[in-house]
Amino acid sequence: MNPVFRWFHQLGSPPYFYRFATRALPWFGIPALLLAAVGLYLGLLKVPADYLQGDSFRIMYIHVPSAWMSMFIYVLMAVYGAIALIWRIKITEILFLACAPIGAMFTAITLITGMLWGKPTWGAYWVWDARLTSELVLLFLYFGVMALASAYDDLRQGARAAAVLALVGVVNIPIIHFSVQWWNTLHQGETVRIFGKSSIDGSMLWPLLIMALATKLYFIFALLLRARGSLLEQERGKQWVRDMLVRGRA
Amino acid sequence: MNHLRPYTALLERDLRLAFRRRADLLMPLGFAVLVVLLFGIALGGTPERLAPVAAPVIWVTVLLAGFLSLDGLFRPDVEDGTLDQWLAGSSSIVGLMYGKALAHWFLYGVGMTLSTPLLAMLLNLPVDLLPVMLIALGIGTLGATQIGLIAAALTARLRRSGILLALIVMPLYLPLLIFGSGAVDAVRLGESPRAALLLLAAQTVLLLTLAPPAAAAALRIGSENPP
Amino acid sequence: MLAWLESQGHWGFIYSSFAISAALLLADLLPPWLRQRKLRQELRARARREQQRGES
Repeated sequence: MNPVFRWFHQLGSPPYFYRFATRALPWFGIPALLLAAVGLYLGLLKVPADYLQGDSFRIMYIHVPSAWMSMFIYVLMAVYGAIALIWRIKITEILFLACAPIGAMFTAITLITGMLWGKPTWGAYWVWDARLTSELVLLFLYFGVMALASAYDDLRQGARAAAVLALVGVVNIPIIHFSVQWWNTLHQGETVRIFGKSSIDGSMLWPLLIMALATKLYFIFALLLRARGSLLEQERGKQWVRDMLVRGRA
Repeated sequence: MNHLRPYTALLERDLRLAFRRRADLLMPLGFAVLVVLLFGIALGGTPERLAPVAAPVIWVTVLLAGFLSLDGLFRPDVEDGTLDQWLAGSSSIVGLMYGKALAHWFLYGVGMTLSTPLLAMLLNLPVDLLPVMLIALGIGTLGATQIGLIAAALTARLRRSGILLALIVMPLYLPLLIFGSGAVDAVRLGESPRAALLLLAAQTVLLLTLAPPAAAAALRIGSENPP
Repeated sequence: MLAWLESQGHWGFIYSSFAISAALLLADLLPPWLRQRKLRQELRARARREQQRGES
């Protein structure tokens, strides 16, 4: 059997996944921290100020990667949800549920940094522009998934119900984006573009890409951490947990 | 036509049950008038202030009224065991979903749309906006019913929770609201509402295709025993 | 408080963006981490007790 395939298969086993997550965590967490430090240093301090927007554009180095992650995580969550619904693999259900709070966090960061960028740039904390409005809707989509899953007494049924909702959401996200964009151009005239009029210079791009990579690594770190914790809670009575803890290898 | 019997029977049953309690039928209309009353008073009752917001207020009111009826969509069937019988039976669950949705739309979609002239009068809606308002509401409520179907199916076996239903339903209502009120706005500005109405219809058709299977899948979840 | 923030100029907004983002991140990261650490300690203690009981 193809080794990659076999590895995926093995990850379905709780003890294997737990050990894998424990070993993998530092490999994602530490690079994420280092890359973020470099990216933020370059973006917040080194890159020259924009001639039109002054210094406030630097918030972009937190705002934009968070926005990318908020959408990427929802799609990934929907994929996990689909796999959980079709194949009922327990670890997939756990990964699915773990995505939601992390995605919601990135969405909240996107919204707040968007507001703090908007004030010096456009004079108001909230503008009903297409991106901010879409992100607000996305936040509620995340909350809906989280609330629905926790409303069920049975964890696995809750995960499956939330997965159906996540799939409905993922189909609707492009429609919501499009409709908000359509609505925005109708009512605000020129689409308010957060990027402003200056073109992105090469030196401005690097910190952005570094931050994008840093947030991805952080997401994997946080996902593995949450999944490991949920797995432990759900498997607490099992023999493999006892063996592993007694041997001191947790 | 025999093979359609279970579905038409369901439709008949739901409609008959609804008409048996006439008072309940008028509840969405009553709610809508109450909301309009609140807005009328809050805005001072003058046509100058009411007319500009009449169409958006009617849209939000109709959506909220339809939303209120969602909790009762599947809950009685869960409670008396009818739902489990359906799932065990040979009728297509998706077909039953279409029946449920149609019954709901007759009562809360068509019903609300027909009540719109009354609301329009109370809010001083400019008369030339009424036709597009009726068309848009008719199509939009059809889509909204589908969204409500999914949300009700997902929460049918849970404790009653209005906020959970609202959280699920409101983001999904958004495109319908945008295109629907956009159509009315177009007429207000003297433009053609065609683009907005077509987008609204497209969204509704998509929902008609996807929602009943999603609702059927959602209903199945509660009935299975965890492995 | 907002007035003070606005008087700090662009850098006020930049620093508060960073601070709030870091706070949200920690709020998302710490609870699950602390919860599972506690659970591990609890389960380990229980497992060790059972093992000793089994041996004695």
